Amino acid sequence: MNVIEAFNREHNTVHSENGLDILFIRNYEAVRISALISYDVIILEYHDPSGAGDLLNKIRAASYEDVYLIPCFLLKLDAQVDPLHLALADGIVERVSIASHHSIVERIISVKNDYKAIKTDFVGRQVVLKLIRFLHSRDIRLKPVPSSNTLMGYSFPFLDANSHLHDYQENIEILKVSVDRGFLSPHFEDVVHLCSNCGSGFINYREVCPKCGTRKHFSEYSIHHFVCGYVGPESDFFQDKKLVCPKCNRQLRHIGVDYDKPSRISECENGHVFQEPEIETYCFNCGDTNKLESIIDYEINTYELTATGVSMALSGITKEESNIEEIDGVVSFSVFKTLLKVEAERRKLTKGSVSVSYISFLFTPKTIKAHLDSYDQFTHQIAALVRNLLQPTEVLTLANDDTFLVMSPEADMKETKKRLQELSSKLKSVLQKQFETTDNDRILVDSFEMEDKESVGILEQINEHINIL
Amino acid sequence: MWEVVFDYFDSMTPDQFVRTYWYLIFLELPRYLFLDYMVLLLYYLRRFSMKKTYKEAQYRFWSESPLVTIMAPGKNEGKNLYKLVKSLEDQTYQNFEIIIVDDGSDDDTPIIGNSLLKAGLIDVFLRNEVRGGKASAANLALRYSKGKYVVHLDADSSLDRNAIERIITRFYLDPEIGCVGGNLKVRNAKESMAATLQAMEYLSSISVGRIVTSYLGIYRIISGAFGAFRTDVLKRIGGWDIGPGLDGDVTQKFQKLGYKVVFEDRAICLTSVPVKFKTLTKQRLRWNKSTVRFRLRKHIDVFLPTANFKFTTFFSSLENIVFNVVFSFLWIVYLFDILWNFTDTFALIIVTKLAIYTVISYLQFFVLIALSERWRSELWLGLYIPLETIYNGYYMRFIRVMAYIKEMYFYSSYKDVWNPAKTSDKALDHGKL
Ligand SMILES: [Zn+2]
Ligand SMILES: [Zn+2]
Ligand SMILES: [Zn+2]
Repeated sequence: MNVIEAFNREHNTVHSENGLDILFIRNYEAVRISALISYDVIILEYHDPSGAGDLLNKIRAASYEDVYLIPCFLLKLDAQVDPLHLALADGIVERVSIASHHSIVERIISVKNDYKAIKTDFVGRQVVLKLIRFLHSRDIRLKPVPSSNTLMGYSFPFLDANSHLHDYQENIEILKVSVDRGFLSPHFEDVVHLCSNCGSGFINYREVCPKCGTRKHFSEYSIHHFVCGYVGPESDFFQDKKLVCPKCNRQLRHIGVDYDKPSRISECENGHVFQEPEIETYCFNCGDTNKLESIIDYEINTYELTATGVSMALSGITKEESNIEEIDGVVSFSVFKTLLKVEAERRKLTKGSVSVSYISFLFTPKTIKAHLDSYDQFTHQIAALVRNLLQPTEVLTLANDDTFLVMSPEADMKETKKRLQELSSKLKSVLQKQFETTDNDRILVDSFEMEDKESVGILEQINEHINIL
Repeated sequence: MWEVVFDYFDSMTPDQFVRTYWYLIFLELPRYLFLDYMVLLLYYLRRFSMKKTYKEAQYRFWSESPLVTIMAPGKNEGKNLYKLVKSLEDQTYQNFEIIIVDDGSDDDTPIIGNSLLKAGLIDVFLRNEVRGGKASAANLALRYSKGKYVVHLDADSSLDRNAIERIITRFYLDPEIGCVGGNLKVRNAKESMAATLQAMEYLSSISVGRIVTSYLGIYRIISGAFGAFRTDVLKRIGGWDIGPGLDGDVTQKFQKLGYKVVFEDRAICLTSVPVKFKTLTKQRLRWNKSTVRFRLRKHIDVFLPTANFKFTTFFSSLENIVFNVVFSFLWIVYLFDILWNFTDTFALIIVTKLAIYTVISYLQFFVLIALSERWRSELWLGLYIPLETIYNGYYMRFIRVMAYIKEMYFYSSYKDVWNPAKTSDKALDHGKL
């Protein structure tokens, strides 16, 4: 290795070891995700934890098997490696070499090649297949990582990288589906108590007055003076440093003999008297106050790949090649990319404009559940609806489970934006009528104009907003 | 047979008759027939003449609409609470708070109490993990009472719709009134013979006795089953002292402070009475022991010419002692007298006495039925009047004498399991409270 290069963080370097091409990344910004296909292994210099984390997330979120399954190691410098990042990587190295991790690298690369050779008949959420393949290629379990950065208190970094807006409910749903379909088997780790509104585990348990709900109340022992039968709170008896009965003026001497403390009584600022305060929960994340019963007890498990899971990882036709093309006017993602390239070339000649928009559906777990058994059919129906609302010259593709891409040739950017906004609200009302979705099922749309000469650029631009690659 | 009876009465001179039936003629008839029914008549006449005044008091009450605290302390009363709370929910007067105290129950009472609290049917539910006795449970409720008046109820009772309105209105008739007793009727009258006889007893002797003593200003005991108190005064006297007889005791304290204690026969509370004679006997032994404990022992000072001396208090205690304690012992004397001096005709005398009582009882009964607000459902009790005379004349008297003897000579109420030992021991240590 060149000494000057070694101290120059501007450059990412390629090394060769045992015939494998290793990309050593020091400058995170210079990495183009789709370009990672060309390497066998990545070593990431861990000098900026947050930057490294972002990059790891992007890699594992990619759509191409060659990218999201790529063996990736962290070159540890001074900074402690965040467990969340370690879970996305395949190990830590001390220098730019994979000698110490030779066998795992071999395994990943060989399994990855197997995947390429076969096509799975997997139907359902793409993320499920990705997760299964990620676990299988590494022969590992999916472990929850304690994390104060996530709402639940535990994170599944691979799932977080792949979910929209780090929506915990989506992750829960994916894990549930995977267990229900027999791909994963759960092993108990912990139970977390989550806000029913937002899923946060950052909850304050408050004791409140059962009458008026105030948090301001104080409790005292009550004292029963046997001799005269007087009962009252301890403070009734305080006199200098003694306990003196307010009824008979005798001094209390010996608990259990002349007096006892039969109960504890609380009084709130509004004068309500009670013994059992109500427990109210306050969610620090969404500000929701609720009853204790509303809290969701969610089981945190480690997930192990089952035999079914393994065979699923290795079998059939892939989702991307599935019959989405059977719908008129919807092209496959690869065709779309080719067309985009063609348009980019055309644009150079005609100075015409091309814009690409995404239409992404963020369905609530409830909606996903309702259509889980026929998710493909559901997607097809939506695709048909979208197609109907588009102009004939526009090209539509399904980039992943729930994101459509639309290429609009020779259209004014502003107009396209406006039209798509209208389209989204129309779509929303149609979905609500046909599929009983609610306002919580959201549709995100945005449009981008192709600026550089390369068609990949615009897809990457979109990818920054919403994971498609 | 009948000739013997005829001859017996035919040959008897008026002197002999008086000699034989002196207890009846000099003690019972004047007290229980003439005095009671004279006063009863006067009472109804006065009530009629005071209709307008009563209406005005009612108006004052409603325009003030004070907060009333209804408290029901008790142990293992959970099963009764719902019925009680329902009867409160249906009251004509609604500005009240309900405080339930669970005194160390070992059944489902805490669960029931807390669920009533959650359902908003009661306002405060307090539980003592360790039993402290009836007085301490009531005192705990009192400590947290916010009402201007406190109504003390037994948890196994329930109220007529207007009972709270009726009992509290009395305070607005006379500002000197410190506490008001409500009228108890028996809910489970048909459950057993013992219960039926008690239903009769509550309807006649207990109710009439209270109307009369109240009219004369010497009403003694406000039953814990249904009584109303001025909260400020009750707090001033420190609430209830440890029982038994805490009801009579607290009433006595009101009288000592110069407050009037009255009975409101139109504020009606249904209560469950003991079904078995055995439990009834125990209950009455306890009640009667308290007369000795509180009248003769703790509050003997009412007979002393101190600064606090009051004629009504004096008479109230005197009446209580004379008509209960003295009469009971005289009754024993009387029994021995006829047994000794009229041995041959003893049986005949007893039967004759019973016959006379029965006739008088029927007269009383029809007067009371005519005045009762629920006479249709009480008329059947008339069938039991012959038995009632035995119940009142012998059974109750016998218990009374037993109780007095036990308490006077053996201080037996201090050993009563009805109170936890810790409180009774302390009371005994501190000079026979
Ligand atoms: Zn409160
Ligand atoms: Zn005391
Ligand atoms: Zn929340």
